[in-house]
Amino acid sequence: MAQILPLFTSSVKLKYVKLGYQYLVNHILTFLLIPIMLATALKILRLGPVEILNVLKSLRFDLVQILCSSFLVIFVATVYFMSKPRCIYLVDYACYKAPVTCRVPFATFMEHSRLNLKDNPKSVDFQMRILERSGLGEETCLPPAIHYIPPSPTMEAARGEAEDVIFGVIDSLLQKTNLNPKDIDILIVNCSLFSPTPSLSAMVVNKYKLRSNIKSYNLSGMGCSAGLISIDLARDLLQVHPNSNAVVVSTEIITPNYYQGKERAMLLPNCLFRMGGAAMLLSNKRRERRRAKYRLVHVVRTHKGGDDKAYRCVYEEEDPQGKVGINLSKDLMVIAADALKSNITTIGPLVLPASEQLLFLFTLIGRKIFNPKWKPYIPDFKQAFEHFCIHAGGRAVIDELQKNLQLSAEHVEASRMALHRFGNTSSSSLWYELSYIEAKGRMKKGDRVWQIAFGSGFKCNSAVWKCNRSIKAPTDGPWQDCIDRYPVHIPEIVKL
Amino acid sequence: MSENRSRVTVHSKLTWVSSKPLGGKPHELSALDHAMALHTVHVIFYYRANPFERGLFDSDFSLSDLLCMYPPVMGRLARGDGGNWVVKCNDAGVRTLRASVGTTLDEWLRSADASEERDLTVWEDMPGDPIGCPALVFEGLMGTWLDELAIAMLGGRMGLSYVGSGAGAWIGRMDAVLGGRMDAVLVGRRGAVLVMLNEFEGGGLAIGLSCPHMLADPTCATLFFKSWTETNRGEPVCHPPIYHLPALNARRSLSTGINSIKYLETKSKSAESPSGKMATATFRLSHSIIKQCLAQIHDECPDATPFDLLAALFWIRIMRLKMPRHDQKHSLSICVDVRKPIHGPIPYGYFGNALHFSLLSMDAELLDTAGLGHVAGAVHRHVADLHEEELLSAMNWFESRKGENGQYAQPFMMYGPELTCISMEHMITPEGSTCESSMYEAAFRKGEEPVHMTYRIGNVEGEGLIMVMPSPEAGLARTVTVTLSEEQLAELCEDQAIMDLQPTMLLGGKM
Repeated sequence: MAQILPLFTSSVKLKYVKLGYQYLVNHILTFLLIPIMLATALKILRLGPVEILNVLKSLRFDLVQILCSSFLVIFVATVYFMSKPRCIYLVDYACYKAPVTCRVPFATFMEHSRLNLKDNPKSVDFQMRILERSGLGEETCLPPAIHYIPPSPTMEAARGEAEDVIFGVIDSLLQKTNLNPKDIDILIVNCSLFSPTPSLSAMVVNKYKLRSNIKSYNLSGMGCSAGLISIDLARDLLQVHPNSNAVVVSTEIITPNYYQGKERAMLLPNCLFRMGGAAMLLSNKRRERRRAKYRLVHVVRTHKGGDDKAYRCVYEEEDPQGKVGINLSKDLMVIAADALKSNITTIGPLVLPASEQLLFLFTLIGRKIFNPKWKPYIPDFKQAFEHFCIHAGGRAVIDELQKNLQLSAEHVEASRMALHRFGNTSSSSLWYELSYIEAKGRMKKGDRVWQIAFGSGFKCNSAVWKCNRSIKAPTDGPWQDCIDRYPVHIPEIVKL
Repeated sequence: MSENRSRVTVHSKLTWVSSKPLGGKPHELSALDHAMALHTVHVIFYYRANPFERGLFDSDFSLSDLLCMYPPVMGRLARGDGGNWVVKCNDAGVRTLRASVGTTLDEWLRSADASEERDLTVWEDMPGDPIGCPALVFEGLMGTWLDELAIAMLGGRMGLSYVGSGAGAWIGRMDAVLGGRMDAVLVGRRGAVLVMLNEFEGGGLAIGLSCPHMLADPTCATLFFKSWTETNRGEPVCHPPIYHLPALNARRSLSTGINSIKYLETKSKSAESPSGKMATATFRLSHSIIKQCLAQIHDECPDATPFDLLAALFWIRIMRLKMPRHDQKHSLSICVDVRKPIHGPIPYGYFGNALHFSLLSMDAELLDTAGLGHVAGAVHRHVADLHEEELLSAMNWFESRKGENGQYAQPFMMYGPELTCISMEHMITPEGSTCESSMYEAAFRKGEEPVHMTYRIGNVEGEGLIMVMPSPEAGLARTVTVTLSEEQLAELCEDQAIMDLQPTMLLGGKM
C-alpha cells in the first residue's frame, strides 16, 4: 500500500508538471506579450490626455512621409496576400455502398475457396486462418464477377465494376454538392490495378459530358496511398488555376486482380481487398468557404523506393504457374514502420505544438551529446490532432500504428470499424473512416484530422485537414443503416 | 454420363446470400426429419416469360431479402454434437446455377423425359450413412483421381455417392462388392438448398429447387418458392416460416395410430428391393373430366375428392398390369401432408417435414372386381381417418428409436417399397381463405403464372410413385405424375381406362 501511494502521487505530480510545461511553452508569446502590454497601458494611463496630444504634436509629419509610409504598408500587405497559398477546401465527399447481393459472408468465401482451390488444402487452410484473424466482418462486398465458381474476371466485368463504382460515387457527390458537371475544371481518377484504354477518367468525361477543356488525370499503379497523392496533385493544380473545382475519384477495381493461383503470399490480398470507392470535391473558390466541410492544411509525401527492400516488398509478379498476383514480403510491417517514422519526422514540425517539438529537440540533443542510450522521445500526436484516419490495410497495420503513435482505442476505432464493415477498400478506406467519425457526430469545428496511407513502392503519405464547420451526423452516407450497431467488438480470432 | 446428349448446358455457378448477416444457433432437425434422410426433394417451376433476363445481379434483391427469413436455407447440414444432423446457420448461402436449354419451352414440355428433367435441377443423392445407393452423380468438375475411380464403378451397385458441394465431400463406403478397396471416408459439410435457373430458347425459364428431404418436404419447398415470388412482386409473405413447434416434440402416449406404427416398423425392416430402370410420365386431367367421373361414382362415394378418385383409378390400373396374384393383399402407401391452414398443431408455415405415411390394403380379388367407386370410397375413408395424432404417434415412435446417446436410428426408405401415392390436396385453396396457397399462384410478375410444375423425390425405390397435384387450370383439374418401371409405364400410357379420361401427356419423353 505504501509503495503504491508514492507511485500514484509521483504520477499525479508528473501529469501536472507536464500540463504546466505544455501550457507555458505553447502560449509563450502570450505570456511574454501580456506583461509588456500591461506595462505600456499603465504608462499611457499615467500620462494624461493632454500630455499625449503634446507628444503627438511634437512629431512633425510631412505629407510625403505619410504618403510613402502608407504606400509601403499597402505594398507589403499586397505582396503578403498575393504570395499566400490559396485555401483549398474539401466541399464534400461521397463513398460507395455496394448492393447487398455482393455481400461475402465468411462461410461463402471459404466454400468458394475450397471449390476453387480443390487441389491445395494447405492454401485453403491458410486463407481460413487469415480470414479468422483479419478483422473483417460479414458484410464486406466483392464484385459480381468474383462470386462465380470459378471467378470470371473478364475485361467487360472489370469495366462493369468500374462503371458501377465510379458512376455511383460521382452521382452521389453531384447530388450532395449540387454541382453541375460542366463546372468541373479538374478531374483526377486513381485506380491502381485496372488501367484500360481509354482511361477511367476518360470514361467519366464521356459519361457526364464534361467540358472539352477539362484538365483530367488518371493515376494508376500507385497503390493504396494513391488517394492522398491525388489530393496533393489537386492541391497543386488548384494553386495554379484560380476559382476552380476539382473532383478526385479514388477506387480500386478488384475484378481483374483476383488471384487465381495457390501461392500463399499472393492469396493474402484476396482475403482482405474489397469493393469500394470515394469521390471528393475540392475547391479554391472563396464562396465555398461557407459550406465546405474541411480545409486542407498539409500534405506530406514520403517515398522509400530508393531502398531495394522497400521497393520489392509489395510486388506484382507471376507465380510459378504463370498466374499474376501481388506478392507481399514478410518484412512489410518493418518497412511500413520505417516509412512512417520518416513521414512523422517531416510532418512533426509542421503540426506539433511547440512544447512537443522542444521536448523532442532536447531529447535529440541529449542523445547525440550526452547519452546515446536515452530512449528517443516519441512526440505525442494526440495533442496535434483530434481524429486519426489510418489506412485500413489490415489489422496488423492498425495495431502497429496504434502502438507506434501511442493511440488509444477510441482514436483507431474509425479505422478498425471501417475495416470490419467494408474491408480493405485500398485508397478509398480513409474516406470511409472519415465518414464514420462524422456519422458518430464526433466532428466539431476546428478539429484536426490526420489521414495516413501506405502504398506499394514503398510510400507513406499523410494529409492534415481542419474541420471548417461543425458537421451534424449525416443522414446519408455509407454508414447510415449500420452506424447504430458500431462500434462492435472484434475478436482476435473469429471461429470459422 | 448419359447416352443421349443432354440439352441442358450449365454455364455458371455462384452463391446467393441474404441481404443481412444471419447466423445463430444451429437449427435442430426433428425425428421425422431424420427419418427422411435418404431422400431429396426437387421442385421445378416452368414459366413462359423469364423474369431474370437481365441477369441475377441486376434484378431485384428479392431472393436476398427473402433469405433473411430462412436461416436454415442459407446454412449447411452437418453432424452436431451427439451425432444427430443439424443445420449450421453459417450464412454460407444458396448455390445458384444458370443453364441454358437447347429447345423451346413447349418442345421441352412435349418431349423431355424424366431423366432429362433431372438435368434441370441439381440432382444429388444425399443419403444418411451410405447404405448402397444405386445412383451415382458427380459434377464432372472434380478432375481428380476420385473421378476415375467413380467412372470405373459406373453401372454397378456400389456405396459411393456424391455428398455436398465441393472437394473433400465424398462419402465412400465400399461394401463387399468392391472388397473393401477404399475405406476412406471423407465427409465435408453438405450443401443444403440449390437453385438452378434454366433458360429456354425463345424465352421461357425453368427454375429448379432441390434440397435434402431432411431439411424440407415438398410443401415447404413450394412455400419457400412462393414466398420468393411474393417478395419479388413486393407483397408481404403469406406464410412466413415457423421453425419450432413444441407440439411436435411433446411426447404423448396415444392409443391411436397403432396401424401406422406397425407399418413403419415393417418398413424399417424391409430389405432393399432392387428396382429396374424407372420412367415417369405426367397426365394432365381437365376439370370437366374429373367432374364427370366424380358424378359417376357419386352413389358409392359421395364425398370423394379428386385425389381419392385418381389414386383409386391408378392403383387399379397399375395393379392389373402387374402379375395378378389373387391370393394376396395389395397395398398402397398413402402419403399425406398433415399441415392445416388454420388450427391444428402444425400450421402451414412450418418449415420441416410434416408427412404421414400410412398403408391401405385390399384383397387382390376385391381390387380387381370392385368398381372404381368402391376403391375410391376406401381411399376416402382412409384419408379422412387420419388425424395429426397419428403423425404425432409416428413421431413418438421415431423418438423411441433413439440410441442411448440420443442419436437417432439409421434412416430407411420412406417412399416405398410398395406403390406410394402422394397427395397434394392441401395445396388447393379452400374457398374463402385470404391467402392463395396453390402453387400455381407463384408468379414473379403479375400475370405470369407458371405453366407447369414438377415434383421429384430422389432416391425412391420400390414399385413406384404416384403424385396427384393441382393443375394450372383451377377447380377439380389435376396433374398426375406416375413413376413406374419402363415397361409398366409404357403399358399404362396405353391403358384404355386412362385414355378415356383424355389426358394431356406432358414430359413423357420421346414416346
